Amino acid sequence: MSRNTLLIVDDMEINREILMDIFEEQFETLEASDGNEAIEQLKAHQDEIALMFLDLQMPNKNGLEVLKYMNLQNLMEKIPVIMITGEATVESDVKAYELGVSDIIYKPFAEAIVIRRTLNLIELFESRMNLEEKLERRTQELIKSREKLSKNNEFLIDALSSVVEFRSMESGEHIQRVKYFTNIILKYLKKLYPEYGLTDDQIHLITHASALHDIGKIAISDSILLKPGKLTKDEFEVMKTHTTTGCEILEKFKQEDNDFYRYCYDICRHHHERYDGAGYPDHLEGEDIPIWAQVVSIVDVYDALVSKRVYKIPYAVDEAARMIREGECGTFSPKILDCFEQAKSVLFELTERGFNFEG
Amino acid sequence: MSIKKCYEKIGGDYEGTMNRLMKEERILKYLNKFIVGNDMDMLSSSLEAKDYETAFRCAHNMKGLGLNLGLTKLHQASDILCEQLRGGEPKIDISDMLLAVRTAYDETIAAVKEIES
Repeated sequence: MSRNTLLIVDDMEINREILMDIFEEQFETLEASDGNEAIEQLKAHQDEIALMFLDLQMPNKNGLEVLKYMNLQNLMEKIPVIMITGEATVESDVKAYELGVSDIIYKPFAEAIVIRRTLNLIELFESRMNLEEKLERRTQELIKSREKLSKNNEFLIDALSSVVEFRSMESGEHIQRVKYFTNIILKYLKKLYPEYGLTDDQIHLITHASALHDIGKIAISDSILLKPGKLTKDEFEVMKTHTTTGCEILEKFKQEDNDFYRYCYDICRHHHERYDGAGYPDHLEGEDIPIWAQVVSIVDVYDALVSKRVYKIPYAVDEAARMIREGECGTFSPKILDCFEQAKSVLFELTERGFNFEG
Repeated sequence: MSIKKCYEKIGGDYEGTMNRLMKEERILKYLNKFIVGNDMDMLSSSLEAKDYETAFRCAHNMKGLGLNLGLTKLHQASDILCEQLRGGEPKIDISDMLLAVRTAYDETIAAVKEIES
């Protein structure tokens, strides 16, 4: 038995002694003659106390206050309490049970009965605590293995996504930045516009899904993808197919009723739509564009503006923000623009400082 | 006087108490503790001081001890007084009730002192 101490709380010494005499061979005993002393003993020995006998009528602090303290400190789950009382009324019994005592023993009590009930209660609490500990350990193990799995998934998605970047001989950081910025904008969106009903779990999934936004570029030929300088109209038409091609790739692994798949698909397909309907490939308008695609869209535009590309030098962050705000690089919903405005100082800082995504 | 005789004299429940506490030595130990206690004094003085909360607790304690030690008369007398003090200042005259407690208490003390160990 890990806990081997009984706390006996009663203002009458004789009452305490009667209980101590019963249990002295099996248990260590602690005494308290009022509520204050009981609370002190609980503070000092809460991990050793296997059970507490409690008298209700006591000077200074009474038994009810001890029970209230124990409730506040969540001790009722760990330490069974037996109330010993000289009066048996249904009312006071109900009240005591409501406050969480495990058992009530009436005076005068027979030794054999008190011993049996005490041991039963201690056993019950011990096995319950063991069960809870076991459950807690299993839960921790499960959480750990889920985290590991999710880390592995993340790694695979990122590896897959960067294949395209690798081909276009970019540094590979664009995808990491898009993920990071997407996450920041989503958090603002959740805070400022609860009508979208975004949850933390959703934000987590959308953030990872954003890595795949340009996956369809794998099918664009080098002559277009790597062309230094402006694309011709025909070339641009080909370039635009990276949205639908991305979806074709994803559809090979289609998963019904899977939120993550849906985010990946929507983001791939719709991250070049415009709020005014002038985007591609489906010319969606307004809130018909899934909100996660809208977020990745503004993030993608911002990062493209401030990044160095083979065909352009980077814009300063303030200039990039102005261009987005004034609609020079697409149109966005007022809500998305608002979130971008609020988040931009964080984005700027990360853009200027550069950042390391290790770990 | 034996413990059994003592209980007979004060109208106590010897059989029941022995059944519960198992050994005469234990009964005697608690009785000896009881007679050096100051519960009766505290009961009287708190009533004089109109400190009904303390008085209630004293009567309550006496009732509990009466139960635990099989002191039936003391238990009954203090039970009656206890109920009157439960809600604070008693609504009726309690002097007879107090007297009954004191009588039972004094008889108990006197009888316990006659026990030859």
